[in-house]
Amino acid sequence: MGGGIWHTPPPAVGGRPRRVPVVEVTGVRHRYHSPEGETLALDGVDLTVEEGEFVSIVGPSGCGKSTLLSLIAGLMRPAEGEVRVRGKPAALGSPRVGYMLQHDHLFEWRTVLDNCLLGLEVRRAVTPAARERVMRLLTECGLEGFARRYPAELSGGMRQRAALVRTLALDPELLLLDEPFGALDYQTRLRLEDEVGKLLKATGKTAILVTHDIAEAISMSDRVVVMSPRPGRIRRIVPIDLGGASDGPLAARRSPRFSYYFDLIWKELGT
Amino acid sequence: MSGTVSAAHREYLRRRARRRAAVQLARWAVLVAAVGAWEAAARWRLVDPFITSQPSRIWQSLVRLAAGGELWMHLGVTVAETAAGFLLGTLLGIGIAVVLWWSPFWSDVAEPYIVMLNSIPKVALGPIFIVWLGTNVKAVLAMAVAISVIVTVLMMFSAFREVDRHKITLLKTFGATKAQILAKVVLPATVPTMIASLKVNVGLSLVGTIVGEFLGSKAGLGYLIIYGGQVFNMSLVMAAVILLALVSIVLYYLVSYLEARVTRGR
Repeated sequence: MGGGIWHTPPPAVGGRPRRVPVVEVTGVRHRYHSPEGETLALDGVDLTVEEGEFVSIVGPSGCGKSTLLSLIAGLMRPAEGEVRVRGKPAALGSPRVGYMLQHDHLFEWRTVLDNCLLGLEVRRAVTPAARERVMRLLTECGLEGFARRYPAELSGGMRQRAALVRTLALDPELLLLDEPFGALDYQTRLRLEDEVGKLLKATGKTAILVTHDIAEAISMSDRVVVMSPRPGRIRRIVPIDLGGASDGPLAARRSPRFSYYFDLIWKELGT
Repeated sequence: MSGTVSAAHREYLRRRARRRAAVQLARWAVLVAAVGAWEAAARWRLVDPFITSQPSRIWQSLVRLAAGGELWMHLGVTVAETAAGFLLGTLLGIGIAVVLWWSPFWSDVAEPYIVMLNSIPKVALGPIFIVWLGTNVKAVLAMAVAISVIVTVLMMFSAFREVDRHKITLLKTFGATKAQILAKVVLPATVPTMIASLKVNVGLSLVGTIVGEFLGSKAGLGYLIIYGGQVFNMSLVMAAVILLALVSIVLYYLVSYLEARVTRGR
Protein backbone atom coordinates (compact mmCIF):
# COMPACT_ATOMS: atom_id res chain seq x y z
CA MET A 1 0.00 0.00 0.00
CA GLY A 2 2.91 2.35 -0.47
CA GLY A 3 2.82 5.41 -2.61
CA GLY A 4 0.43 7.59 -0.69
CA ILE A 5 -3.32 7.65 -0.57
CA TRP A 6 -4.04 7.00 -4.19
CA HIS A 7 -3.29 3.60 -5.61
CA THR A 8 -4.07 4.47 -9.19
CA PRO A 9 -1.26 6.54 -10.64
CA PRO A 10 -2.31 9.61 -12.61
CA PRO A 11 -2.32 8.97 -16.33
CA ALA A 12 0.66 10.23 -18.25
CA VAL A 13 -0.22 13.43 -20.03
CA GLY A 14 0.05 13.18 -23.79
CA GLY A 15 1.34 10.35 -25.91
CA ARG A 16 -0.29 7.50 -24.01
CA PRO A 17 0.63 4.17 -25.52
CA ARG A 18 -2.89 2.76 -25.74
CA ARG A 19 -6.12 3.67 -24.00
CA VAL A 20 -8.02 0.78 -22.47
CA PRO A 21 -11.75 1.39 -22.34
CA VAL A 22 -13.00 1.29 -18.74
CA VAL A 23 -16.64 1.07 -19.75
CA GLU A 24 -18.11 -0.39 -22.91
CA VAL A 25 -21.85 -0.19 -23.44
CA THR A 26 -22.98 -1.84 -26.68
CA GLY A 27 -26.49 -2.03 -28.11
CA VAL A 28 -28.20 -1.76 -24.75
CA ARG A 29 -31.96 -1.82 -24.51
CA HIS A 30 -33.69 -1.95 -21.19
CA ARG A 31 -37.32 -2.36 -20.18
CA TYR A 32 -39.06 -2.00 -16.85
CA HIS A 33 -41.94 -4.35 -16.18
CA SER A 34 -44.92 -3.64 -13.94
CA PRO A 35 -48.45 -5.03 -13.81
CA GLU A 36 -49.62 -1.97 -15.76
CA GLY A 37 -47.29 -2.76 -18.64
CA GLU A 38 -43.74 -2.35 -19.75
CA THR A 39 -41.67 0.76 -20.26
CA LEU A 40 -38.81 0.98 -22.68
CA ALA A 41 -36.25 2.97 -20.71
CA LEU A 42 -33.22 2.65 -22.97
CA ASP A 43 -33.39 1.98 -26.68
CA GLY A 44 -30.07 1.13 -28.26
CA VAL A 45 -27.32 2.85 -26.33
CA ASP A 46 -23.65 2.62 -27.25
CA LEU A 47 -21.02 4.34 -25.17
CA THR A 48 -17.33 3.84 -24.49
CA VAL A 49 -15.54 5.57 -21.64
CA GLU A 50 -11.75 5.66 -21.63
CA GLU A 51 -9.42 5.56 -18.68
CA GLY A 52 -9.12 8.84 -16.83
CA GLU A 53 -12.04 10.37 -18.67
CA PHE A 54 -14.81 12.38 -17.06
CA VAL A 55 -18.07 11.85 -18.92
CA SER A 56 -21.38 13.49 -18.05
CA ILE A 57 -24.80 12.31 -19.10
CA VAL A 58 -27.52 14.93 -19.39
CA GLY A 59 -31.10 14.53 -20.48
CA PRO A 60 -34.68 15.23 -19.49
CA SER A 61 -36.22 13.46 -16.49
CA GLY A 62 -37.06 9.86 -17.24
CA CYS A 63 -34.65 9.58 -20.17
CA GLY A 64 -33.00 6.56 -18.60
CA LYS A 65 -29.73 8.18 -17.55
CA SER A 66 -29.93 6.75 -14.03
CA THR A 67 -30.90 3.40 -15.53
CA LEU A 68 -27.74 3.49 -17.61
CA LEU A 69 -25.70 4.18 -14.49
CA SER A 70 -27.40 1.34 -12.58
CA LEU A 71 -26.57 -1.01 -15.46
CA ILE A 72 -22.91 0.01 -15.36
CA ALA A 73 -22.91 -0.46 -11.58
CA GLY A 74 -24.27 -3.97 -12.10
CA LEU A 75 -27.42 -3.30 -10.09
CA MET A 76 -29.43 -4.62 -13.06
CA ARG A 77 -28.72 -6.60 -16.18
CA PRO A 78 -29.66 -5.12 -19.55
CA ALA A 79 -32.53 -6.82 -21.31
CA GLU A 80 -30.50 -6.66 -24.52
CA GLY A 81 -26.95 -5.72 -25.32
CA GLU A 82 -23.83 -5.72 -23.22
CA VAL A 83 -22.29 -3.64 -20.47
CA ARG A 84 -18.65 -4.31 -19.76
CA VAL A 85 -16.35 -2.82 -17.16
CA ARG A 86 -12.70 -3.45 -17.97
CA GLY A 87 -13.76 -6.15 -20.39
CA LYS A 88 -15.90 -8.08 -17.88
CA PRO A 89 -19.71 -8.00 -17.69
CA ALA A 90 -20.78 -5.40 -15.12
CA ALA A 91 -21.43 -7.07 -11.77
CA LEU A 92 -22.24 -5.92 -8.26
CA GLY A 93 -19.50 -5.59 -5.73
CA SER A 94 -16.74 -4.99 -8.23
CA PRO A 95 -13.89 -3.35 -6.34
CA ARG A 96 -13.23 -1.26 -9.43
CA VAL A 97 -16.51 0.62 -9.24
CA GLY A 98 -17.70 3.22 -6.72
CA TYR A 99 -21.27 4.46 -6.79
CA MET A 100 -22.44 7.75 -5.35
CA LEU A 101 -26.06 8.79 -5.06
CA GLN A 102 -27.90 12.09 -4.91
CA HIS A 103 -28.43 11.85 -1.17
CA ASP A 104 -25.56 10.93 1.05
CA HIS A 105 -27.42 8.03 2.70
CA LEU A 106 -25.04 8.15 5.62
CA PHE A 107 -26.12 5.81 8.39
CA GLU A 108 -27.19 8.05 11.23
CA TRP A 109 -26.26 5.47 13.87
CA ARG A 110 -22.63 5.35 12.74
CA THR A 111 -19.95 7.97 13.19
CA VAL A 112 -18.55 9.64 10.08
CA LEU A 113 -15.48 7.39 10.25
CA ASP A 114 -17.55 4.23 10.64
CA ASN A 115 -19.70 5.33 7.71
CA CYS A 116 -16.60 5.74 5.58
CA LEU A 117 -15.39 2.28 6.60
CA LEU A 118 -18.66 0.66 5.53
CA GLY A 119 -17.46 -0.59 2.15
CA LEU A 120 -14.25 -1.92 3.64
CA GLU A 121 -16.26 -3.67 6.36
CA VAL A 122 -18.47 -5.35 3.79
CA ARG A 123 -15.34 -6.55 1.98
CA ARG A 124 -13.81 -7.55 5.33
CA ALA A 125 -10.85 -5.33 4.53
CA VAL A 126 -10.69 -3.05 7.56
CA THR A 127 -6.99 -3.07 8.39
CA PRO A 128 -5.07 -0.48 10.38
CA ALA A 129 -3.54 0.69 7.10
CA ALA A 130 -6.96 1.04 5.45
CA ARG A 131 -8.23 2.93 8.48
CA GLU A 132 -5.24 5.24 8.25
CA ARG A 133 -5.95 5.81 4.57
CA VAL A 134 -9.59 6.71 5.27
CA MET A 135 -8.47 9.15 7.95
CA ARG A 136 -6.16 10.81 5.42
CA LEU A 137 -9.01 10.99 2.90
CA LEU A 138 -11.19 12.65 5.54
CA THR A 139 -8.47 15.19 6.18
CA GLU A 140 -8.11 15.81 2.48
CA CYS A 141 -11.83 16.49 2.23
CA GLY A 142 -11.79 18.90 5.14
CA LEU A 143 -13.42 16.54 7.63
CA GLU A 144 -10.45 15.87 9.92
CA GLY A 145 -12.20 17.09 13.06
CA PHE A 146 -15.40 15.22 12.34
CA ALA A 147 -14.38 11.55 12.17
CA ARG A 148 -16.01 10.76 15.53
CA ARG A 149 -19.09 12.91 14.97
CA TYR A 150 -22.48 11.65 13.84
CA PRO A 151 -23.92 12.63 10.43
CA ALA A 152 -26.71 14.64 12.08
CA GLU A 153 -24.05 17.08 13.31
CA LEU A 154 -22.78 17.81 9.77
CA SER A 155 -23.97 20.29 7.15
CA GLY A 156 -25.26 19.08 3.79
CA GLY A 157 -21.98 19.77 2.02
CA MET A 158 -19.95 18.01 4.70
CA ARG A 159 -22.27 15.03 4.60
CA GLN A 160 -21.80 14.73 0.84
CA ARG A 161 -18.03 14.98 1.34
CA ALA A 162 -18.24 12.14 3.85
CA ALA A 163 -20.22 10.15 1.27
CA LEU A 164 -17.44 10.84 -1.23
CA VAL A 165 -14.83 9.55 1.21
CA ARG A 166 -16.98 6.45 1.78
CA THR A 167 -16.93 5.86 -2.00
CA LEU A 168 -13.21 6.57 -2.37
CA ALA A 169 -12.29 4.40 0.62
CA LEU A 170 -12.36 1.33 -1.61
CA ASP A 171 -10.11 3.06 -4.12
CA PRO A 172 -12.33 2.44 -7.14
CA GLU A 173 -10.95 3.27 -10.56
CA LEU A 174 -14.40 4.11 -11.91
CA LEU A 175 -16.79 6.46 -10.12
CA LEU A 176 -20.47 6.51 -10.96
CA LEU A 177 -22.01 9.75 -9.76
CA ASP A 178 -25.80 9.96 -9.81
CA GLU A 179 -26.54 13.66 -9.29
CA PRO A 180 -24.30 13.78 -6.23
CA PHE A 181 -24.58 17.57 -5.95
CA GLY A 182 -28.30 17.75 -6.70
CA ALA A 183 -29.45 18.18 -3.11
CA LEU A 184 -26.97 20.91 -2.15
CA ASP A 185 -27.40 24.66 -2.07
CA TYR A 186 -25.85 26.53 -5.00
CA GLN A 187 -22.66 27.81 -3.34
CA THR A 188 -21.85 24.49 -1.69
CA ARG A 189 -22.58 22.83 -4.97
CA LEU A 190 -20.10 24.97 -6.93
CA ARG A 191 -17.40 24.53 -4.33
CA LEU A 192 -17.88 20.78 -4.11
CA GLU A 193 -17.95 20.38 -7.89
CA ASP A 194 -14.63 22.17 -8.02
CA GLU A 195 -13.04 20.09 -5.28
CA VAL A 196 -14.31 16.77 -6.59
CA GLY A 197 -13.41 17.62 -10.18
CA LYS A 198 -9.84 18.52 -9.23
CA LEU A 199 -9.50 15.52 -6.93
CA LEU A 200 -10.62 13.07 -9.58
CA LYS A 201 -8.45 14.62 -12.27
CA ALA A 202 -5.41 14.66 -9.99
CA THR A 203 -5.83 11.00 -9.20
CA GLY A 204 -6.67 9.88 -12.70
CA LYS A 205 -10.02 8.32 -11.80
CA THR A 206 -12.53 7.63 -14.50
CA ALA A 207 -15.94 9.10 -13.76
CA ILE A 208 -19.44 9.10 -15.18
CA LEU A 209 -21.73 11.83 -13.88
CA VAL A 210 -25.48 11.89 -14.34
CA THR A 211 -26.92 15.39 -13.93
CA HIS A 212 -29.73 17.76 -14.86
CA ASP A 213 -27.38 20.69 -14.72
CA ILE A 214 -25.87 21.57 -18.11
CA ALA A 215 -23.33 23.99 -16.61
CA GLU A 216 -22.16 21.37 -14.14
CA ALA A 217 -21.76 18.86 -16.95
CA ILE A 218 -19.74 21.24 -19.15
CA SER A 219 -17.51 22.50 -16.37
CA MET A 220 -16.56 19.07 -15.08
CA SER A 221 -16.41 16.89 -18.17
CA ASP A 222 -14.22 15.83 -21.04
CA ARG A 223 -17.34 14.76 -22.92
CA VAL A 224 -21.05 15.38 -22.43
CA VAL A 225 -23.53 12.75 -23.56
CA VAL A 226 -26.92 14.25 -24.45
CA MET A 227 -29.85 11.84 -24.22
CA SER A 228 -33.29 12.04 -25.79
CA PRO A 229 -36.56 11.73 -23.85
CA ARG A 230 -37.85 8.23 -23.18
CA PRO A 231 -37.10 5.81 -24.66
CA GLY A 232 -33.55 6.95 -23.99
CA ARG A 233 -31.16 7.14 -26.88
CA ILE A 234 -27.91 8.99 -27.19
CA ARG A 235 -28.68 12.06 -29.24
CA ARG A 236 -25.22 13.51 -29.38
CA ILE A 237 -21.86 13.28 -27.67
CA VAL A 238 -20.18 16.66 -27.24
CA PRO A 239 -16.42 16.70 -26.57
CA ILE A 240 -15.61 19.63 -24.33
CA ASP A 241 -12.52 21.68 -24.96
CA LEU A 242 -12.43 24.86 -22.96
CA GLY A 243 -8.94 25.69 -24.17
CA GLY A 244 -5.68 24.68 -22.55
CA ALA A 245 -5.19 22.89 -19.25
CA SER A 246 -8.26 23.52 -17.18
CA ASP A 247 -7.89 24.92 -13.69
CA GLY A 248 -10.85 23.01 -12.45
CA PRO A 249 -14.61 23.24 -12.91
CA LEU A 250 -14.97 26.66 -11.31
CA ALA A 251 -12.38 28.23 -13.61
CA ALA A 252 -13.88 26.37 -16.54
CA ARG A 253 -17.10 28.30 -16.12
CA ARG A 254 -15.23 31.49 -16.96
CA SER A 255 -13.91 30.15 -20.26
CA PRO A 256 -15.12 32.12 -23.30
CA ARG A 257 -16.25 28.89 -24.94
CA PHE A 258 -18.40 27.89 -22.00
CA SER A 259 -21.53 29.59 -23.31
CA TYR A 260 -20.98 28.12 -26.77
CA TYR A 261 -21.19 24.63 -25.30
CA PHE A 262 -24.08 25.63 -23.12
CA ASP A 263 -26.11 26.81 -26.13
CA LEU A 264 -25.15 23.73 -28.12
CA ILE A 265 -26.29 21.31 -25.44
CA TRP A 266 -29.34 23.40 -24.59
CA LYS A 267 -30.48 23.20 -28.24
CA GLU A 268 -29.83 19.47 -28.37
CA LEU A 269 -31.97 18.97 -25.28
CA GLY A 270 -34.70 21.30 -26.47
CA THR A 271 -35.65 19.64 -29.71
CA MET B 1 -27.53 32.21 27.17
CA SER B 2 -26.19 35.34 28.83
CA GLY B 3 -26.08 35.86 32.56
CA THR B 4 -28.46 38.78 32.59
CA VAL B 5 -32.07 37.89 32.07
CA SER B 6 -34.91 40.30 31.47
CA ALA B 7 -37.59 40.75 34.08
CA ALA B 8 -40.17 39.41 31.65
CA HIS B 9 -38.15 36.22 31.23
CA ARG B 10 -37.81 35.81 35.00
CA GLU B 11 -41.55 36.23 35.27
CA TYR B 12 -42.07 33.62 32.55
CA LEU B 13 -39.82 31.12 34.34
CA ARG B 14 -41.55 31.77 37.64
CA ARG B 15 -44.98 31.23 36.12
CA ARG B 16 -43.78 28.00 34.54
CA ALA B 17 -42.43 26.67 37.83
CA ARG B 18 -45.60 27.69 39.65
CA ARG B 19 -47.78 25.87 37.15
CA ARG B 20 -45.72 22.72 37.43
CA ALA B 21 -45.95 22.78 41.20
CA ALA B 22 -49.72 23.27 40.97
CA VAL B 23 -50.09 20.23 38.71
CA GLN B 24 -48.06 18.09 41.14
CA LEU B 25 -50.09 19.29 44.08
CA ALA B 26 -53.39 18.64 42.31
CA ARG B 27 -52.28 15.11 41.41
CA TRP B 28 -51.61 14.24 45.04
CA ALA B 29 -54.79 16.00 46.16
CA VAL B 30 -56.89 13.89 43.77
CA LEU B 31 -55.33 10.71 45.14
CA VAL B 32 -55.77 11.70 48.77
CA ALA B 33 -59.35 12.84 48.16
CA ALA B 34 -60.30 9.62 46.38
CA VAL B 35 -58.72 7.36 49.00
CA GLY B 36 -60.18 9.52 51.81
CA ALA B 37 -63.68 9.46 50.32
CA TRP B 38 -63.48 5.69 49.89
CA GLU B 39 -62.34 5.19 53.50
CA ALA B 40 -64.99 7.57 54.86
CA ALA B 41 -67.78 6.00 52.82
CA ALA B 42 -66.84 2.55 54.12
CA ARG B 43 -66.51 3.72 57.75
CA TRP B 44 -69.90 5.44 57.78
CA ARG B 45 -71.47 2.46 55.98
CA LEU B 46 -72.46 4.45 52.91
CA VAL B 47 -71.07 1.47 51.04
CA ASP B 48 -70.62 -2.11 52.20
CA PRO B 49 -66.90 -2.67 52.86
CA PHE B 50 -67.43 -6.39 52.39
CA ILE B 51 -68.15 -5.62 48.72
CA THR B 52 -66.00 -2.53 48.11
CA SER B 53 -63.28 -3.15 50.69
CA GLN B 54 -61.64 -0.04 52.10
CA PRO B 55 -58.17 1.52 52.05
CA SER B 56 -57.30 0.69 55.65
CA ARG B 57 -58.23 -2.97 55.18
CA ILE B 58 -56.27 -3.13 51.92
CA TRP B 59 -53.29 -1.72 53.78
CA GLN B 60 -53.69 -4.37 56.51
CA SER B 61 -53.85 -7.06 53.83
CA LEU B 62 -50.67 -5.77 52.28
CA VAL B 63 -48.91 -5.67 55.63
CA ARG B 64 -50.04 -9.21 56.44
CA LEU B 65 -48.89 -10.47 53.06
CA ALA B 66 -45.55 -8.74 53.42
CA ALA B 67 -45.01 -10.04 56.92
CA GLY B 68 -45.75 -13.63 55.86
CA GLY B 69 -43.32 -13.28 52.94
CA GLU B 70 -46.08 -14.22 50.48
CA LEU B 71 -46.14 -10.74 49.00
CA TRP B 72 -42.61 -11.01 47.66
CA MET B 73 -43.13 -14.55 46.43
CA HIS B 74 -46.26 -13.66 44.40
CA LEU B 75 -44.74 -10.43 43.19
CA GLY B 76 -41.52 -12.20 42.19
CA VAL B 77 -43.38 -14.94 40.30
CA THR B 78 -45.43 -12.45 38.30
CA VAL B 79 -42.46 -10.20 37.51
CA ALA B 80 -40.30 -13.18 36.49
CA GLU B 81 -43.03 -14.66 34.30
CA THR B 82 -43.71 -11.29 32.69
CA ALA B 83 -40.02 -10.63 32.05
CA ALA B 84 -39.48 -14.09 30.59
CA GLY B 85 -42.61 -13.91 28.44
CA PHE B 86 -41.69 -10.43 27.31
CA LEU B 87 -38.14 -11.36 26.30
CA LEU B 88 -39.22 -14.60 24.63
CA GLY B 89 -42.08 -12.91 22.80
CA THR B 90 -39.92 -10.04 21.59
CA LEU B 91 -36.98 -12.20 20.49
CA LEU B 92 -39.23 -14.77 18.83
CA GLY B 93 -41.17 -11.97 17.11
CA ILE B 94 -38.01 -10.34 15.78
CA GLY B 95 -36.72 -13.75 14.68
CA ILE B 96 -39.90 -14.52 12.74
CA ALA B 97 -39.86 -11.04 11.20
CA VAL B 98 -36.28 -11.64 10.02
CA VAL B 99 -37.32 -14.92 8.39
CA LEU B 100 -40.21 -13.17 6.64
CA TRP B 101 -37.94 -10.35 5.48
CA TRP B 102 -35.46 -12.88 4.17
CA SER B 103 -37.99 -14.58 1.92
CA PRO B 104 -40.48 -12.28 0.17
CA PHE B 105 -42.19 -15.33 -1.28
CA TRP B 106 -42.87 -16.92 2.08
CA SER B 107 -43.84 -13.63 3.67
CA ASP B 108 -46.52 -13.25 0.98
CA VAL B 109 -47.62 -16.80 1.68
CA ALA B 110 -47.73 -16.19 5.43
CA GLU B 111 -49.52 -12.84 5.31
CA PRO B 112 -53.17 -13.94 5.64
CA TYR B 113 -52.27 -16.36 8.42
CA ILE B 114 -50.47 -13.68 10.39
CA VAL B 115 -53.37 -11.27 9.96
CA MET B 116 -55.72 -14.00 11.20
CA LEU B 117 -53.54 -14.90 14.17
CA ASN B 118 -53.27 -11.22 15.05
CA SER B 119 -57.03 -10.77 15.15
CA ILE B 120 -57.70 -13.79 17.37
CA PRO B 121 -58.09 -12.70 21.00
CA LYS B 122 -55.10 -14.58 22.41
CA VAL B 123 -56.93 -15.11 25.71
CA ALA B 124 -59.15 -17.59 23.85
CA LEU B 125 -56.11 -19.82 23.40
CA GLY B 126 -55.70 -20.20 27.19
CA PRO B 127 -57.53 -23.53 27.56
CA ILE B 128 -55.47 -24.97 24.69
CA PHE B 129 -52.23 -24.08 26.47
CA ILE B 130 -53.54 -25.54 29.73
CA VAL B 131 -54.42 -28.84 28.03
CA TRP B 132 -51.16 -29.00 26.13
CA LEU B 133 -48.78 -27.75 28.78
CA GLY B 134 -50.58 -28.31 32.09
CA THR B 135 -51.54 -25.88 34.83
CA ASN B 136 -48.07 -24.56 35.46
CA VAL B 137 -45.53 -21.90 34.61
CA LYS B 138 -45.21 -23.21 31.05
CA ALA B 139 -48.85 -22.39 30.28
CA VAL B 140 -48.48 -18.91 31.80
CA LEU B 141 -45.38 -18.26 29.69
CA ALA B 142 -47.11 -19.55 26.57
CA MET B 143 -49.92 -17.08 27.22
CA ALA B 144 -47.51 -14.19 27.77
CA VAL B 145 -45.60 -15.06 24.58
CA ALA B 146 -48.73 -15.64 22.50
CA ILE B 147 -50.12 -12.25 23.34
CA SER B 148 -46.97 -10.32 22.38
CA VAL B 149 -45.35 -12.29 19.58
CA ILE B 150 -47.66 -11.58 16.64
CA VAL B 151 -47.75 -7.84 17.28
CA THR B 152 -43.96 -7.86 17.38
CA VAL B 153 -43.79 -9.76 14.09
CA LEU B 154 -46.10 -7.25 12.40
CA MET B 155 -44.34 -4.21 13.81
CA MET B 156 -40.84 -5.43 13.02
CA PHE B 157 -41.65 -6.81 9.59
CA SER B 158 -43.21 -3.58 8.42
CA ALA B 159 -40.25 -1.65 9.86
CA PHE B 160 -37.83 -3.95 8.01
CA ARG B 161 -39.68 -3.31 4.77
CA GLU B 162 -39.61 0.44 5.26
CA VAL B 163 -35.83 0.60 5.60
CA ASP B 164 -34.58 3.08 3.01
CA ARG B 165 -33.97 1.03 -0.14
CA HIS B 166 -31.18 3.40 -1.19
CA LYS B 167 -29.22 2.39 1.88
CA ILE B 168 -29.66 -1.22 0.80
CA THR B 169 -28.65 -0.35 -2.78
CA LEU B 170 -25.56 1.34 -1.41
CA LEU B 171 -24.54 -1.81 0.46
CA LYS B 172 -25.25 -3.92 -2.62
CA THR B 173 -22.84 -1.79 -4.66
CA PHE B 174 -20.22 -2.68 -2.07
CA GLY B 175 -21.02 -6.32 -2.80
CA ALA B 176 -22.81 -7.03 0.48
CA THR B 177 -24.47 -10.40 1.07
CA LYS B 178 -28.04 -10.63 2.34
CA ALA B 179 -26.77 -11.42 5.82
CA GLN B 180 -24.57 -8.31 5.73
CA ILE B 181 -27.49 -6.18 4.58
CA LEU B 182 -29.46 -7.52 7.53
CA ALA B 183 -26.69 -6.94 10.05
CA LYS B 184 -25.42 -3.58 8.80
CA VAL B 185 -28.59 -1.78 7.70
CA VAL B 186 -31.87 -3.52 8.41
CA LEU B 187 -31.35 -4.36 12.09
CA PRO B 188 -29.55 -1.14 13.15
CA ALA B 189 -32.02 1.03 11.24
CA THR B 190 -34.96 -0.55 13.05
CA VAL B 191 -33.65 -0.28 16.61
CA PRO B 192 -36.20 2.49 17.39
CA THR B 193 -39.01 0.17 16.31
CA MET B 194 -37.56 -2.60 18.45
CA ILE B 195 -37.67 -0.29 21.44
CA ALA B 196 -41.22 0.72 20.59
CA SER B 197 -42.23 -2.93 20.42
CA LEU B 198 -40.54 -3.54 23.78
CA LYS B 199 -42.73 -0.81 25.25
CA VAL B 200 -45.86 -2.36 23.80
CA ASN B 201 -44.81 -5.85 24.81
CA VAL B 202 -44.17 -5.03 28.47
CA GLY B 203 -47.85 -4.21 28.87
CA LEU B 204 -49.04 -7.11 26.71
CA SER B 205 -46.86 -9.68 28.48
CA LEU B 206 -48.20 -8.54 31.83
CA VAL B 207 -51.75 -9.06 30.52
CA GLY B 208 -50.76 -12.49 29.21
CA THR B 209 -49.13 -13.45 32.48
CA ILE B 210 -52.11 -12.42 34.57
CA VAL B 211 -54.55 -14.22 32.27
CA GLY B 212 -52.30 -17.28 32.41
CA GLU B 213 -52.26 -17.10 36.20
CA PHE B 214 -56.05 -16.75 36.26
CA LEU B 215 -56.47 -19.90 34.21
CA GLY B 216 -54.20 -22.16 36.14
CA SER B 217 -51.38 -21.44 38.54
CA LYS B 218 -50.44 -21.70 42.17
CA ALA B 219 -48.62 -18.39 42.56
CA GLY B 220 -48.45 -14.86 41.23
CA LEU B 221 -50.61 -11.76 41.48
CA GLY B 222 -53.15 -13.24 39.02
CA TYR B 223 -53.50 -16.25 41.30
CA LEU B 224 -53.90 -13.96 44.31
CA ILE B 225 -56.68 -12.00 42.58
CA ILE B 226 -58.61 -15.14 41.55
CA TYR B 227 -58.12 -16.71 44.98
CA GLY B 228 -59.26 -13.51 46.77
CA GLY B 229 -62.34 -13.38 44.56
CA GLN B 230 -63.23 -17.00 45.25
CA VAL B 231 -63.04 -16.60 49.05
CA PHE B 232 -64.72 -13.17 48.82
CA ASN B 233 -61.75 -11.39 50.33
CA MET B 234 -62.04 -8.11 48.45
CA SER B 235 -59.19 -6.50 50.37
CA LEU B 236 -56.86 -9.18 49.05
CA VAL B 237 -58.11 -8.66 45.50
CA MET B 238 -57.66 -4.88 45.75
CA ALA B 239 -54.21 -5.25 47.30
CA ALA B 240 -53.13 -7.51 44.45
CA VAL B 241 -54.54 -5.10 41.84
CA ILE B 242 -52.62 -2.20 43.41
CA LEU B 243 -49.42 -4.26 43.34
CA LEU B 244 -50.10 -5.07 39.72
CA ALA B 245 -50.42 -1.38 38.88
CA LEU B 246 -47.09 -0.72 40.60
CA VAL B 247 -45.41 -3.57 38.73
CA SER B 248 -46.63 -2.29 35.38
CA ILE B 249 -45.42 1.24 36.10
CA VAL B 250 -41.98 0.03 37.18
CA LEU B 251 -41.62 -2.18 34.09
CA TYR B 252 -42.73 0.63 31.80
CA TYR B 253 -40.18 3.03 33.26
CA LEU B 254 -37.43 0.41 33.00
CA VAL B 255 -38.09 0.14 29.26
CA SER B 256 -38.30 3.93 28.90
CA TYR B 257 -34.93 4.19 30.60
CA LEU B 258 -33.53 1.63 28.17
CA GLU B 259 -35.01 3.60 25.27
CA ALA B 260 -33.41 6.83 26.46
CA ARG B 261 -30.03 5.11 26.74
CA VAL B 262 -30.17 3.39 23.35
CA THR B 263 -31.48 6.36 21.35
CA ARG B 264 -29.20 8.92 22.95
CA GLY B 265 -26.65 8.84 20.13
CA ARG B 266 -29.23 9.33 17.37
